[in-house]
Amino acid sequence: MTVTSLASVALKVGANRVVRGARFSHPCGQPALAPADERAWRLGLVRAAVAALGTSVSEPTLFELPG
Amino acid sequence: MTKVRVVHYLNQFFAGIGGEDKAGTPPSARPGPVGPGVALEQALGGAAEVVGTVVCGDGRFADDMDETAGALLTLIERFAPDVVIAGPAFSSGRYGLACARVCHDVATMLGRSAITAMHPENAAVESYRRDVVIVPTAPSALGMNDALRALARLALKLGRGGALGPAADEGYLPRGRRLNVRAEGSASSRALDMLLARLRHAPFVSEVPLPRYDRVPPPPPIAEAARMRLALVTESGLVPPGNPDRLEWVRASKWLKYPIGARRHLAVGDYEVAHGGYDAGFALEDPNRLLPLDAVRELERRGEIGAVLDDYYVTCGNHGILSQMAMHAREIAADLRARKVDAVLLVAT
Repeated sequence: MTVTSLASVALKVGANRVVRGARFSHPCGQPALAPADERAWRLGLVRAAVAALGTSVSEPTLFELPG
Repeated sequence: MTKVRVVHYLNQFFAGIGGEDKAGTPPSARPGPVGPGVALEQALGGAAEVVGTVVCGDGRFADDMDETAGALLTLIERFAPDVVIAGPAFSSGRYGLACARVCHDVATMLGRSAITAMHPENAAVESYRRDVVIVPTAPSALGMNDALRALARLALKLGRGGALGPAADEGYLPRGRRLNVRAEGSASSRALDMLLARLRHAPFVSEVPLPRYDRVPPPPPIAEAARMRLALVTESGLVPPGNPDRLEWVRASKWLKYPIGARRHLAVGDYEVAHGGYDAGFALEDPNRLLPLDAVRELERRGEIGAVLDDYYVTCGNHGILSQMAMHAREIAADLRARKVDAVLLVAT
């Protein structure tokens, strides 16, 4: 699966499981958050990635982060 | 004007020797045209003569390509051709490979022109299209007449020592070469013409062909995340300090793997970024913003995933050349498979 902020590009080139990351220079980070909040956000991102890996897809599919 | 001397290459089937039962037929030669060579000579319209036909069984060729190709080349050379025409091979994989290889060797080792024809999805096309002039055909021999006409026209040009124009104009498969041509009008006016055509829903042809991307069937989902072995891969250019293996920050020629070991997170100062496409400031403040090892370890501790591979894989995607990046991907995937990885978390910047 792929984590990237440029989800539309990833889907267009055929990445099958895509989770939208934060920004292209820090896909797995939220520098504006306090360190503990950023770590919690990243944990949620990786959980979404694991959930995507466990989901059956038939074509390039975007998985959004829960709320 | 003297006639152009053509040598024609055929497999056992088109030479009338037999089908798959005769696929082991060894290389042989005979004077004059054989089978479709008769129609080929007609298509050449008296300007050229099929002086000889060289034949080999597809199975024989496939079983021992180097030796068979060498024997065929010797037979071809005896006819002193101006140009060699191989096939058409249509969709036949082994025949296509033989035709393409014969053309390749005639050009590189005899210094003579050569041309073949086959269906664009014939497996030989991918391997040889850059080096061999290949005329596209229908998938089956129903397209024989069209194929022979196209072959004859280009073979005459090549046999007289002429150069071929662009693939789209001449009707062969693009070799990926760039030819200088003088265009009508400036780039800006041509671009505006295309834009206007598009707005009118009129046809237009881009001067910059867009890349075509492979579709990979999605792999089945992971059955049990708590037991999966996960690998971390990134094209973000995240490397150890000093970039010891000199990963290029643009158009990377390589991929690398570096140990994660028992690290619980990626520490500040342990990494730098070899990537010319983004500001590395945020990543240098906390490399986990690129490769989320801290969060992955947390899930590992909680038993939500099985294990994390003790190396991470990295290249730099900045201005990546599609074919090169695809090669990196195949090599990384092969390495990961050998290490029994179940799933990959790929971070793309």
